[in-house]
Amino acid sequence: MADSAQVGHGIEIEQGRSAIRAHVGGPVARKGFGQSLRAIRKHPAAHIMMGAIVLMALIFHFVPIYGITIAFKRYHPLLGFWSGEWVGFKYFGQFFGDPFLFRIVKNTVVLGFLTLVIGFPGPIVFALTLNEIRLSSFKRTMQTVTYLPHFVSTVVVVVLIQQFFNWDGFFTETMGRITGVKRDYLTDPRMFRPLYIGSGVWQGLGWGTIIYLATIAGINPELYESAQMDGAGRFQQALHVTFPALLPTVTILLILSTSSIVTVGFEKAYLLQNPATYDTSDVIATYVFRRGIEKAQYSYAAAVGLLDSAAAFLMVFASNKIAQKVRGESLW
Amino acid sequence: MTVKRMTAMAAVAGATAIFAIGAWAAAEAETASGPVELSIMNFWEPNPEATSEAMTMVWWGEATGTILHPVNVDRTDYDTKLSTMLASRDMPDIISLIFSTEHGDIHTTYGPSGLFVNTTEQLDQGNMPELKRYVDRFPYIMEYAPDGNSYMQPQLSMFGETTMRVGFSMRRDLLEQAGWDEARMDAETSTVPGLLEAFRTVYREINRDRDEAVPMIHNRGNRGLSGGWVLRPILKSFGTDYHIHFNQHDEYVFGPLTENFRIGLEFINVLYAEGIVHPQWLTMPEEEQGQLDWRGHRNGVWLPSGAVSHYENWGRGGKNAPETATGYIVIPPVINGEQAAHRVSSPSRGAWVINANSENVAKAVEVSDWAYSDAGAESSSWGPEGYAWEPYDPEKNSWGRRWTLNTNGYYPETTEEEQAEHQFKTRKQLFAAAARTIPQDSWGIDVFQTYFDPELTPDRWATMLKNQQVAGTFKELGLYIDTPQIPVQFTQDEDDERIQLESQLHTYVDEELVKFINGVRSFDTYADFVARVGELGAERLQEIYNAAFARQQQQLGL
Repeated sequence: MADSAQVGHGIEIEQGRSAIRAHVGGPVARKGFGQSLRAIRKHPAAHIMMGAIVLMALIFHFVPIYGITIAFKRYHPLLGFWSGEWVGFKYFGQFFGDPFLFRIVKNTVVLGFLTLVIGFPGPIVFALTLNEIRLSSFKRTMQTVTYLPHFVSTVVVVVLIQQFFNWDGFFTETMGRITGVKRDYLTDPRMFRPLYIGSGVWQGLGWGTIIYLATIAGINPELYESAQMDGAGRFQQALHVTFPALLPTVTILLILSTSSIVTVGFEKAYLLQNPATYDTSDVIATYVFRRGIEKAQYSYAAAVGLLDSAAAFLMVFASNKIAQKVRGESLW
Repeated sequence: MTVKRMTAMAAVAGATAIFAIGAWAAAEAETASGPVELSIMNFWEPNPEATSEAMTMVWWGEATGTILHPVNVDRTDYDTKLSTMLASRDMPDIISLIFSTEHGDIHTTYGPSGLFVNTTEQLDQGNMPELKRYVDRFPYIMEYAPDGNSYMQPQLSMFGETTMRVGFSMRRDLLEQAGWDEARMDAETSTVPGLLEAFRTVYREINRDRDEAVPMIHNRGNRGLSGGWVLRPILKSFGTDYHIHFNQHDEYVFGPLTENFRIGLEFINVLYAEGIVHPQWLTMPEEEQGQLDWRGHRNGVWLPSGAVSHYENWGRGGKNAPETATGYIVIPPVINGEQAAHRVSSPSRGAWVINANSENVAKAVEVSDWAYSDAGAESSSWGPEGYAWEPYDPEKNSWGRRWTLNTNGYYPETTEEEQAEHQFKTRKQLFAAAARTIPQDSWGIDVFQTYFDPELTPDRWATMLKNQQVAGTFKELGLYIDTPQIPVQFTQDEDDERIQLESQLHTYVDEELVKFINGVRSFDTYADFVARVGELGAERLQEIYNAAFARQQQQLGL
């Protein structure tokens, strides 16, 4: 049963890849410029659409790269990127010599790791669960309700958290009545991570299911029929048909998500933290913001940002390699 | 999609673009023939709704033939906003600089590079005659960059010539109800135990008839801890500060290294433990405070640096709590026999700067200069609250409301009588040409260019404003200023190291302060705290500041 599902799924993937190759001309890139031009003429709309994306990536992601030079210079706003005295690795050295380095790196990694470990499987499980709901109106309602938090801005999410957990907030009041002791959750460093991660799960659960539900919708129904003929129940079908079909998507998304371990979102951490919670809430981004932006140390901020990006790239690269070795599937 | 259809779409897009460019060009041409439009970045207590229709903006605009678009920046976002503006070089035409922030002195740093208009040149060329009146009379109001030129226009302030106090503001009526007569207030509230007892008294009185205990709250929001508006006023009352500051011995010291710092923290810890401050005092969002304030639950405040309107405005708890509209007593504690809480205000260190890359530099210069005319000084004394203030008796720190623009008791509440008395005078003054209706949410914008009383004698101003000599004058009276009158200039290397040290020290001190105040950390470990502050470079930070200050004093021949 399991074998047939996996084999069936493998055929499907191969068919998909063939179709993509057939559409964009697959080996075209190896056949020279002339054929590329012919492919463009053959599919102008597709290439125009792709061209816009490529152009956007060039303008917003590649062109600004020259700005990283300020990480190695004493940047002066008026003189611009090309002027300013070269200082080598001075600002990198300052970062590595910072007494809070260990703490902010630890907080960043722990927060990123926990977010990944707790937040990543949620949408998968939820998508599998939604897929099993047969009452379509209920399913649609559930989807809509769980999608909505995604559209709530980070600022509003933080305000909601503060309203629930402040001294007069619903949660604090309720817990106070139950336990007889009111606690100040917002100044408790131990509460920062649960609040940060919990709110992230709440916000991203429904939205994260979209891509999985789309993948599930594309699974060949014959696989389910075949499994049923083999005597598989609903749970076994989910386990042996649906879940294996999701795995390639899961792998890709997991690889892409690994970079978030070292690049914890700045906004929520900054808005949710206060000095009382620095012990767990002060991450690289917030610490650098206080120094690099508030105190106008642009070169220092650029140096740390560069390090952060390099670490994120290494994470993605390593996880891609691991996925390639373990599952034979990877981004590149 | 066929090639034909795509061609048609491209043609439509092209036509739309041409139309848009044409419309833009027409709008530009129209603008060019009308009043010059300038953007002006403001701060402090900006009316977030203020637009070019705001009262002060209209006033300034009409007087100078401009349309002024205010760029309102919240005080707590000011550093970030200005920092990003500098980095992008996308700045308003005129910028107001806050003296107490990281960027208060950027005109001396970036002025010589050409970022800001050279005020010295403008004065020499006769482009700023109104400002020149003041500069000729009171040369000390200008600050100069290392190249000898000035790139700022000073924000003249009434506070510049009066002694101000940082201390605790208490409801006088509640103290009186509890049997505290004037003599007892004077005798007992200046000691730390007496001050605590006064707090307890006011606290008990205000909550006597209430169902819920409403603790005392502070006057700024949670972002203020790093911005310096939560703890600094209190610690200043104890003659210290939570970071580097200038003390009465003309030295820079890092607050946590001083004994008074511990006394201040212990005091706040008692307030916290007894429920006099709100349990979330250190993290309460400003909006939440506003709600408490609106309900009339505010029973006392600490004063930051003496904006006198706060005395009354903070005392007014709203229509539901008319009893709070009473007088306050300012209580500076005596620590180790010294009443260190007195503070002498400096000539305002705030400044205007003009963006040298503005498309309308000449007009921006004209607008800035107009602010120093009699009419300009008059207009800019109006805050968002609609009041201007004048001292009845500066020696006693007694202030009174000058005029009010409020005609319907908006904020703060005023009595009918007060309105009747001032209404005609104000409206006539403002809207002499033609009466008009200005929406109440855009009455004003707090342009910190305070009323400058031409009746003050030159001698008095000269005495008060004469930079370092001011300190000497007041030190003789047992008072001191908490910042030197001339900002210290650092070398680039000093600046790099200073910022690194300050970043790490502020992170640590901010965090530990909260623990001490909340009782999470025992004062038994205070010695460890001080030791850690030392390890993080507090002494080195002091050295950097004092070396720069000494160098500057030498250069100035002082």
